[in-house]
Amino acid sequence: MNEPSISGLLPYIPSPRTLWKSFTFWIWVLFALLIANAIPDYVVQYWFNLSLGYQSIFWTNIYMQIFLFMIYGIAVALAIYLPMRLYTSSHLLKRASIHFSIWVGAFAGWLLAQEYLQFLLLSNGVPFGERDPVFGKDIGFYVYTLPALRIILTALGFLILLSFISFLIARWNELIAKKIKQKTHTKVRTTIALLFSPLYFRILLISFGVIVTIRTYFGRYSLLLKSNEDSGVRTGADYLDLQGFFSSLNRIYLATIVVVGLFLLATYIFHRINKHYGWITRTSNPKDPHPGGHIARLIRVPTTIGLGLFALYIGFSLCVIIRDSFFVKPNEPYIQLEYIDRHIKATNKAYRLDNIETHEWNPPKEPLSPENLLASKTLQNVPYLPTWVTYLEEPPDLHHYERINVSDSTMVFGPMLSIYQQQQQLRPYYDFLSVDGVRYSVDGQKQMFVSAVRELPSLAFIGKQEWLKYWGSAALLLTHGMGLVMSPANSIDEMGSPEYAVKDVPPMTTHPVLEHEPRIYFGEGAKDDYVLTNIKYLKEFDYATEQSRREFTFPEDLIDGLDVSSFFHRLIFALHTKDVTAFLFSRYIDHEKTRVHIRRTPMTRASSIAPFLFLDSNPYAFIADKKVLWMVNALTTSREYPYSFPEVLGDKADERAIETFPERIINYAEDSVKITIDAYSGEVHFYKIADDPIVNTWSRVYDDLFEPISAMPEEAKAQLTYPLQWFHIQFDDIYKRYHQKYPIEFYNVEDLWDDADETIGSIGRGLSGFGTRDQLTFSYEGYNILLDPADLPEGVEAGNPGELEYVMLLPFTPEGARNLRSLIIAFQDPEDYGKLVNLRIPQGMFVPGPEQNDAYICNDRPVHQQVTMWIRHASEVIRGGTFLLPIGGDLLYLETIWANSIQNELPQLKIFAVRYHDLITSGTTLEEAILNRNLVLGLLPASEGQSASDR
Amino acid sequence: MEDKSNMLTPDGRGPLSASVGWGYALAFLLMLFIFLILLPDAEGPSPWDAVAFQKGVLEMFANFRILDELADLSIVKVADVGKGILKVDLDLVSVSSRKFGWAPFLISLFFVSIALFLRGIRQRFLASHFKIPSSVRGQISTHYFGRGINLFFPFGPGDLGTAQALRQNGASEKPATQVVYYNRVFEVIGITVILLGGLIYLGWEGAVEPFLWTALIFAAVVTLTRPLGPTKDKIKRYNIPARIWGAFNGRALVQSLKELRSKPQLLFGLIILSAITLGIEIIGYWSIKQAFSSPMDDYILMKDLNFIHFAIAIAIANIARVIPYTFASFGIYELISVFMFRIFGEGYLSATTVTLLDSLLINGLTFVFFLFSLFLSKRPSILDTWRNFFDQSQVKIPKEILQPSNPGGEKNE
Repeated sequence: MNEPSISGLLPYIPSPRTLWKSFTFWIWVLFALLIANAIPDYVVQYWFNLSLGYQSIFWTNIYMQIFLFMIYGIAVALAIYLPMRLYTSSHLLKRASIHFSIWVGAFAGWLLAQEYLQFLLLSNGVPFGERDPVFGKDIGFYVYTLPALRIILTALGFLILLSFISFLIARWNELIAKKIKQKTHTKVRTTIALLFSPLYFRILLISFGVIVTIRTYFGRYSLLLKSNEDSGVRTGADYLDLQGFFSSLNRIYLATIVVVGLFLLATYIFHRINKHYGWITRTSNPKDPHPGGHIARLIRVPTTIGLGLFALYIGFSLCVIIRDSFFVKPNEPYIQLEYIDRHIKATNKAYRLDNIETHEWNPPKEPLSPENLLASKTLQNVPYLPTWVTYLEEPPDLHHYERINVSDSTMVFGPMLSIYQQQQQLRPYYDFLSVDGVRYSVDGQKQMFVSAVRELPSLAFIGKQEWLKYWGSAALLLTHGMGLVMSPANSIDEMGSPEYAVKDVPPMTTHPVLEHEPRIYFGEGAKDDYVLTNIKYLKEFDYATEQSRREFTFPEDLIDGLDVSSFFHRLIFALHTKDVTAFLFSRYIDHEKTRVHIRRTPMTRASSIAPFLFLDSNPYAFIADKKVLWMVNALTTSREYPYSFPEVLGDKADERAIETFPERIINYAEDSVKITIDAYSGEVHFYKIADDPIVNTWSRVYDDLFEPISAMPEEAKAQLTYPLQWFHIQFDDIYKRYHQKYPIEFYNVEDLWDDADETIGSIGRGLSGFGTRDQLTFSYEGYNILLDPADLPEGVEAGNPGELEYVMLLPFTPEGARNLRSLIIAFQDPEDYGKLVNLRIPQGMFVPGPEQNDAYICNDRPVHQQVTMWIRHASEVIRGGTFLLPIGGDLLYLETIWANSIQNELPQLKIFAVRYHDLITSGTTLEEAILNRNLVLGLLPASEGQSASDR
Repeated sequence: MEDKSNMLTPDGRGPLSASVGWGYALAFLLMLFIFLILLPDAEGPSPWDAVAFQKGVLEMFANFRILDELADLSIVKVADVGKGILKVDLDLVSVSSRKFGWAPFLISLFFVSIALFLRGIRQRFLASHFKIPSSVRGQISTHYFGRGINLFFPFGPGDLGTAQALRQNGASEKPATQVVYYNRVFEVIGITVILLGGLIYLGWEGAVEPFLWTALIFAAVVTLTRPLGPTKDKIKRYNIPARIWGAFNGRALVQSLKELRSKPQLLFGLIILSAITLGIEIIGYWSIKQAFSSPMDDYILMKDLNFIHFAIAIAIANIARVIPYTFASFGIYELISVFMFRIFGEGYLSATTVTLLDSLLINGLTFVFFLFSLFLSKRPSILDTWRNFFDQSQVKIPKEILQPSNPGGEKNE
């Protein structure tokens, strides 16, 4: 055996041919892989839509995607290949260009095909029927046409750029091949001139010029979405943009003219160059390298004109800047008021705040008697068992994080979730992921319940657990959760624990209206995992009986589930799920009967059918006609509404959502769609609830997608809720500033609000002492109650007095102060759905805000003593949510205080603290608190109570 | 008739300047691809979406922790606070005021420096094996001279640089070249050991998918970068195993190992040293990933990726560094690394961020070592090295190594 040659041991530069061979080989392999990876996804998407009856949506999407892919892909491929075909004689380059044009064309086509939704909007747009105040265009032009036009122009720009690069390579190669430089003995600039002389280049130049011109001209519409924070018009064109000769608008028009001029001049220059030099490339024996004169002489005049045009533009821009500094800024805000007014109106309209009812709320000076308070239906039904969970906000405030982190959890307040997990989880494989508020009419009385779904979280959701260790368990046996758990939200037992209306496995109910099909195949915990039903040899695990187990088979008459009857089906699922062995080799799969259930979370299910909708991150389950249904609130959005301020929709979801939906920047939205998903059968329905142009457009695009709200079952309709994220963005982001309707007030920011804060969560957990410094303050989110309209201040017309309305509330304080400024109420029952009321406290009146109320309660002697006692005896004390309640036209605060064992998380509601007018009262029940008996200390043994108070 | 003169030099090696141009162009194209295509897609929106692009870039910068520094310089205005040319909405980039310890960063510097140093030590052991007298200087430092040259030029002229530097310090040509070659052999062995170890650790169930992808990427990287040099085996185009074998210069590799069998202690010692060297480097990369995360769980870069997957991804990407195809493997290393992280379920943004951090770390430290190497022993000039490399590449490969491929290991003489 010979030793390796020394020269063979060191690296070397490979030849271009070697490089090209390797490169093309692997690019083709890559292409094959990408296609192989994409095909299963597309096929499964089709089967998924087909199984739910939405196959027409799939075809609508795919036709548009194919159309865009083909059109742009072919155009790009030709743009790359044509110059090579026309301008080079190198076979190598021509061959290479075929490969390149296919690769780049396919990639470009794929990129554009991703924009299919925008093009579907473009081709089906329903006009808004409103016109912008500057150009008089229908808003639909901004929402549908302009974004698509921008994409088209960008795509064409790329196309021309690619063609230009291809042309450059081909032409350069040709000039070198013909030894032009040696023939003409000319300078480099002549060679460069020859490079650009062909007609093709001038066509590219003119095309590019047209695109740049259109883009520049269309820049005028961008003025209506421009940020003008400095002038007080936060979004949209201001005085300087529109008025006078030296305005931004005229600058755009001038820029358009300059662009046209520059491109015409450039074309003319290259035309002259071709005329004088083009012949060199067509002859084999040029004699005079400068027959038509030097290049400098050819381009002198047009270049001078071009520079002049450019200087004109720069000069004009300087004049605009000077005018702004000397004539506009010193005259603000007066000259901007008209534009600020446009901005306020557009923003309020786009965020659906223009029809909000505002009432002055002047709480009466005389308090109601305790008996009258107790007679209030609102107070009787106050949901003091919280129907929500508070999590540490994101972005995280380190100040909070360091305190909370001792428990290795970001949950701040969630007693009901903890209680349900302790008392009703029952088996290791079940879990409760969140709690929600629902309402039912029980014996003719509307009542609010805390409700949670006993889910069976999947492998992808909770990771490998003992009971999910094997594929057989995770995919074949443990397929579904078991029922709901429910407690009346206004009732506790003597221990301070909730009472149950639905509990245990299988679920036991206290009332027929709460009976339901308990099997939960589709839930928030079923993330990313599939299950197989109707398998051979085995049956699914249903639930544990007293000392054994019960089995179940998913009924064949239910619609969900994709069949695996053919090898092709199984192969596609194997590739799609990456679970090759399971689908190709498992003997459990019955080719005739077995079904695969995929996309089992409510959000995934809804978004894979209608990805254009923004989904509120808080799906909730309820009982309707003995079925458990999930409700997902969906919005149609845009960020192109002229003059409207943009905000991030969904940013608050991160902290609480089990499954977050990508955030969107919007400046227009409508609460337009309600989606129900059957937790047992997987059936999905989309109900259109608003007459919004965007949802109407989607309705036109997808004929079969939406059903009218009238088609929604009454029991589902009775569970409608206002989308929490939408409520948040409307009020906490927009209305807090845009309620200032007068432009001068808005400019001066005279009445900026802030969502009220409350003290909530554990006191001093993991910390050594007790004190107010150890408590956390968080912003309110909208909270739900049952409100008797009779308790609202006079003049508010909503619902019928005596008939409870399900409403969402959010209090506001002035920015930088803590007194109450406003209470926003959103009505959620079907009759008044979406009605918004603003109860506004007079600006000069002091009414304590929630945080101030919390401080009063904290300092109240009985409460303080009891809390101190618990903490000293190794209990954790949790401050519950503070309810701000309108009662008899007046205002009452209720806060709950919970005690919890540090060793074992089982919170108990121990104290009701009420603040009404200037009285703080507390008790172990709401009634005791209202009747001011202060019995808290009475609960303790006398010696401890004495000891505590002595200290 | 095709104009062959335009494509091939008389010796059949082609216009190598085109290859060099390609070496640079590809690097920039790949980086452009990463920045324009991968980053905007981080959270799902379209690459045409300017806001998503802005978010992707800002988030990446935020991960680099320079947001606060940029705010201090009034370049960015963080949310509504302070002054700045660019406004960064914290909600948009999902970051907040964060506190970081410097410990993970210092650890990463330390470990990667150690890994680089151990490669020099390995060269020293090999020099001793090939009987280069201990009086020859620069037996460690010349390694960094070569590595440094590879930061600037494509196709790995650094090996020639190291060999020439060793010669200038008194070594003869053959052992100098062999030392450099064997050092590269052990780099490849180290990668293979880590890969095999990782895949065995994952077990049958966990390793099937990573293995398939790893094998494919491995094949692609190996055949593109040719980590063991210029074999000229005749290989059919779609015979992938043969391509890998050829690209690995399998015949020479087997022969090298056979030769080292005479000193089994040295062979196994160097294999262990090579694996440890790469292992330490991987820990360094892991540390820098931790260093540039925030203390909050949600902001730890690639928090769900386990160390074994991380090690496999880095090991595969490191093949690209054995003989860099582009300068400093710019673009290729990043693309492979991002791709591998994607295979293991990470998002584009975090994968790109970690990859760029790794690249900065290793290339930065290599450059520092290179600067030191310039003063520690005799060495040829950098440009001379490149010129020699270019000239040498134009020489046709001798016929004796133009042998048919034989993956089965049968000799074919």
